[in-house]
Amino acid sequence: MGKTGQPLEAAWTGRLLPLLLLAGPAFFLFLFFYYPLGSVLVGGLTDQSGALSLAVIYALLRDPYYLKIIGFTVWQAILSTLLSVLLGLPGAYLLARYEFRGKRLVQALTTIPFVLPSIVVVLGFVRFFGNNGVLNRLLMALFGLEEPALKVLYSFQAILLAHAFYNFPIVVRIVSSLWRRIHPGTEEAARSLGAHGFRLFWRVTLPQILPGILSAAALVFIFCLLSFAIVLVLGGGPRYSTLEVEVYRLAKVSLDLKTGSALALVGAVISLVFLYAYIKAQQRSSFAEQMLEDYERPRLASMLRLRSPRGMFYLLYLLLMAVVILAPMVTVVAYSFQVRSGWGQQAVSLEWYRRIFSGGAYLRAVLNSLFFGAMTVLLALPMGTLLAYVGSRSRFTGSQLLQALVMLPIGISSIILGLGYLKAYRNFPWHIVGSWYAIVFAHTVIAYPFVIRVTSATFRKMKPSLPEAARSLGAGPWQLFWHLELPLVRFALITGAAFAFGISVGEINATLILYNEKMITIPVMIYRLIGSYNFIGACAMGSVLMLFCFLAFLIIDRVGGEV
Amino acid sequence: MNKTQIHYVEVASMLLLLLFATGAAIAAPAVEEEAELVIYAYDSFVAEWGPAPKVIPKFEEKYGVKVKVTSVGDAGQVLNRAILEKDNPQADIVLGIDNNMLSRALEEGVLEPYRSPNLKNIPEQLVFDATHSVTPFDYGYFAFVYDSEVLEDPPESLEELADSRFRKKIIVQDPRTSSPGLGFLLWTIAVYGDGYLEYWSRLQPNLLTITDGWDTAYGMFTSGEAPMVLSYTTSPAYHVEYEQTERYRALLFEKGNYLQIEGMGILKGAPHPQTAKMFIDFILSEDFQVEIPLTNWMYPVDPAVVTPESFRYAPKPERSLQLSAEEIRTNQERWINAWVKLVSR
Amino acid sequence: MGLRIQNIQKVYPDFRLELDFEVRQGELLALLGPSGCGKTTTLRLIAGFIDPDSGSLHMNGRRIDTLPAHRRRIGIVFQDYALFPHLSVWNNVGFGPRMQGWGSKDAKERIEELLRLVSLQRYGKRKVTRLSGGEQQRVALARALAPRPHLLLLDEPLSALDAKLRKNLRKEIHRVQRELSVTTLYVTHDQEEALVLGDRIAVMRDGHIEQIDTPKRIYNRPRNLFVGTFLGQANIIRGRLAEREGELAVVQTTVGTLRVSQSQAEEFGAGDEVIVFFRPEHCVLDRSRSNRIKGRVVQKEYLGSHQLVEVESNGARFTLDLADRVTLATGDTISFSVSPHHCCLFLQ
Repeated sequence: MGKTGQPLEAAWTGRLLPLLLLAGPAFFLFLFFYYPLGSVLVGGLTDQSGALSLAVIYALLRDPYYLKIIGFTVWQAILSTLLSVLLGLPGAYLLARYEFRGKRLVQALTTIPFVLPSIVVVLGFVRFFGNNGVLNRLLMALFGLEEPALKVLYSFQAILLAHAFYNFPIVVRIVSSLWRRIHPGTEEAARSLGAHGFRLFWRVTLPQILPGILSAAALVFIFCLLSFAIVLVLGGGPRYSTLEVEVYRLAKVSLDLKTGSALALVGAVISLVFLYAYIKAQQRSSFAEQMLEDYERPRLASMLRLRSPRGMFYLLYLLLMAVVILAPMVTVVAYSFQVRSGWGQQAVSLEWYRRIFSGGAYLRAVLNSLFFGAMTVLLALPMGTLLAYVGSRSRFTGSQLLQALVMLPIGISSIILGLGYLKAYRNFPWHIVGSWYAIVFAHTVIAYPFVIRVTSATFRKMKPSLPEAARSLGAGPWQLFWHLELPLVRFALITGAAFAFGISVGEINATLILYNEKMITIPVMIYRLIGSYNFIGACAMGSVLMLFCFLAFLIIDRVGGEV
Repeated sequence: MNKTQIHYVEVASMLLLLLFATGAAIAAPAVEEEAELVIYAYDSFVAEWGPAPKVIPKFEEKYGVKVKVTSVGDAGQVLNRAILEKDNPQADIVLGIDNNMLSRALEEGVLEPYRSPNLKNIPEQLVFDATHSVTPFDYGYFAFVYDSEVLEDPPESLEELADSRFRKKIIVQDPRTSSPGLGFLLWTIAVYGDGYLEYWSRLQPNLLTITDGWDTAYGMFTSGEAPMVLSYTTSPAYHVEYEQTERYRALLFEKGNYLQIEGMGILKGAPHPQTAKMFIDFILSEDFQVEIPLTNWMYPVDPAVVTPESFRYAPKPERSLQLSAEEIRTNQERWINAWVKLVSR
Repeated sequence: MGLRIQNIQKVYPDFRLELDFEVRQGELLALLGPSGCGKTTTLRLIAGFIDPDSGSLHMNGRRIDTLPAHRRRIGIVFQDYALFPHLSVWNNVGFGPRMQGWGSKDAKERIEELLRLVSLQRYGKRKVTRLSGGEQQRVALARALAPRPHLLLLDEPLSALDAKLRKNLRKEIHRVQRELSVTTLYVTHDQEEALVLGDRIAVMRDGHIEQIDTPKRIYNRPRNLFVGTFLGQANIIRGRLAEREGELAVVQTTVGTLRVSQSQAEEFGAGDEVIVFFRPEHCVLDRSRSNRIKGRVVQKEYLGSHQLVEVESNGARFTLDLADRVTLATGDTISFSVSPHHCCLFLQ
């Protein structure tokens, strides 16, 4: 490929066109991401008198407490990533090798936790895995125990487990996308040569799916690195604290962050490194996918019915995954169908749903969330797609670093973003903070990297001969994009839209900083309900949220195509 | 329509919507009626079931003034926001500064003192700010609330709380991010003095978890994760009032419970200082005070206000503990750092 | 007229492309060479996907190297067909006309015409992903030809197909090209394809063209050893040019004295180290006096209509292409000869 690789300019008439196209997104990003981000992070780069200095960072990196925090953050991220990959591989195998009905349904379901606001995730976890949760109560009843059997929460293990369970669907998604294209022929050939079992996997399969694994691992690592609510609540307290949690705490103490900014800066740099690694791995992975084709695969049911150890293993695996991923969500939903009647009793009832849909603040929150979700899609989708397109077609040196920078919002906590808006725009004549577009812009900034992720993978997978064929047939740059590349990434666009929507309706941290009474969203409402003893109400709103996310991801199922 | 045509329509409509959205965003100014009084308050104050929906209309009607109440998070964040906007205050009143935060507020110099004539109705010991930069409007006591259906022999003192029979049965909050959390830390210092760290090291095994905020802690408590949680003496009243259950009870300790007094103040450089003063007067009036118990779940500062029936289950301690504002300011950072170091081990 | 590649140069760190040739109007020029010789790069240069460092390209008298790829009116058939997966057969073929703004009636007629040309009339509505390799190849051909290109480029279009299919499609391509008389450049590494399809063949090595000529002349009169050994089978023997005998050059070799016809021997002088070259099928088993070589049969390959016999003589190996009725056994001593007019001489 080397000799025939194309620099961006050769692919377009003149250099002006790509620059013009990028101007819009670049301007938007500058105004609503880099500038606010800078206003916060600059706190970590100035000393007391306001002059630029590395003193704060220096002090931070010398402080044993913060060093411990940084070390722990990286350590738990590494372990969580390993666990996620291990858990994800069997699932990726199943998804890649077998057909079963409702495959996309399952994928839609397992993606929901990823976009849910942290409070709902934690609520569900506590209600299911907690000492008085469904699981323990079940076990206690079954085995007649006095004390809870599985005291898994409020510990290091809880953090790892929660991370693994909420991130392993990403591993499944990314790895299976590559794995499904690896023709079983290679394995059959190896088998005929005497390789089998683990050796077969290690020597033949693994090297082929490695780019996918690395790509997924890099992404999961970043998510675990920046994990906030899970560590905060399920870790049990100050003993297990990560970068993001500390930033959160410091932000609560004072909005003028010095150490907090320095910490966020450290986190951003680490994320940037791994984003870069992710982009490189993804390029290799997409290149591999480019070369391979899809093929027929057998039905899963037939495999599971075998009374073989293999069938049993996978059956157990599926059961376990189903239980652990779905259970917390199901618990939240189940709990919402109640009303606290007299004498602390609980009765089954649709009371809260009646309240939500009969108007008032709750309905307004629902409608607001839908509005913001739609607006976020409208902004994030074109922007993300455009950036992904240019990114996938450019090959100048440093383009990968630039791409990593563009994806940076993944590596920045939304708390910092919200604070950034506060700080950057507090002195502006037009009140950005407290306006509906501030929320939309914040959501867009948070969501567009995911759009990029989904669409750029598809752009890259495209065989280069396709655009060349189109060009030889007379398609100019715009026609190329419109008639060939856009239709081909259509499914990715829809996936990207679903993600953008999901992320927007589930966003809480930045929204909490930027909202006002007229613009309450579902997550903020949930937060408030919890703050006033209304857990049933919180679960009901949480269920509505889950329903929206589920529907959004189900649309991918309807449209079909690769997820 | 065939596939390609549908494709065109899709893309076209998306682009149109995008144009509309950007156009609307750029063109729409912040269309809002000019408010004549702007208040920053904490979240539960502004919520549907909080005091604001009840008291604000009263004020608006009484004085013919349009009020805008903005929620900016919890009490600590209210103060932070005020400090952030020091040079260009967007609000007139900042609501939620308590006795533990007072010295920080005063030090940052964000408040304008105002002595309301209505202060004469309020007991002296509740007026925690001599400069009158902050005017009190309600108070409460931190207390451990327990589930009587699960716990049969609750502790009667801080010391007993550290008993081994309560292993992993207590939920508390982090003083860095929660005011009950801070209150409890100060409480232990008020009781144990410099020996508080030693106390905490004995208490630690009994803690199921240390949460970042009251909501999470209380949520876990009512979910049954642990039978004891740090909360307020008024918490049981809520359950009596709305759930008709007396199962959750507050504990009064031998040496007393720690006192929290909440107040609000006028911001220096406030856009509408006159209306702000009227509001301060208003909060000490019966109209405002009578709404506090059932919406904010605290005691009104005005002793003349009769608390509802359910408040019988919100016991008032005989002794109330408090540390002085100066003491807090001088030592808070040191206390918290030492505490963090201890519990992080 | 046709395609003129004028002094094109493209320099890479490990490779250098230098081209100067033409593809005549209506002819099929086969560009033949081993992998890595630069055939594909040449194609991409002509198509406009890469820019040359210097030189120019002309099509039908007009300069095209300054034009972007989408304006060069060049049809390309790719090795992997590159059919647009989201479009049907009909829309794939119609893509070019559509991009170039044809009226719908003209486009429709043209698509039908081409589908008929490649025998896929009823395939219009089919999804391209459901076609067999051969069918896809035909669609790719139809698609490339639809917008009436001035030049057709084919990049090893048959390499992904099995032998029988390859032969059939080769015929198809040949027929279509003849029928439409479209100027064609056909890139391949398969010498049989080049021989069958090419009106002329250009043999390429290491970035430049060794020889460009009709198949017959390239086969019988290769310019150098590379061309000679690349196409067809060859027998070579080293030797030294001793002297001239009238028209013939006399070469001393380890298998005896060989005489090579003068038309081949012009550039050489006495004492030069040379190589004598001749084809297996020009070896005869008679005892005519010119160029007789005696050796021992070491291997036989029966090929149905003829046989290949490998003979060893004084350390040198020769392959003879003989009729099958000649019976020989391994180990037999035989003598064969080859006419001086069938020999070529190259410098070592």
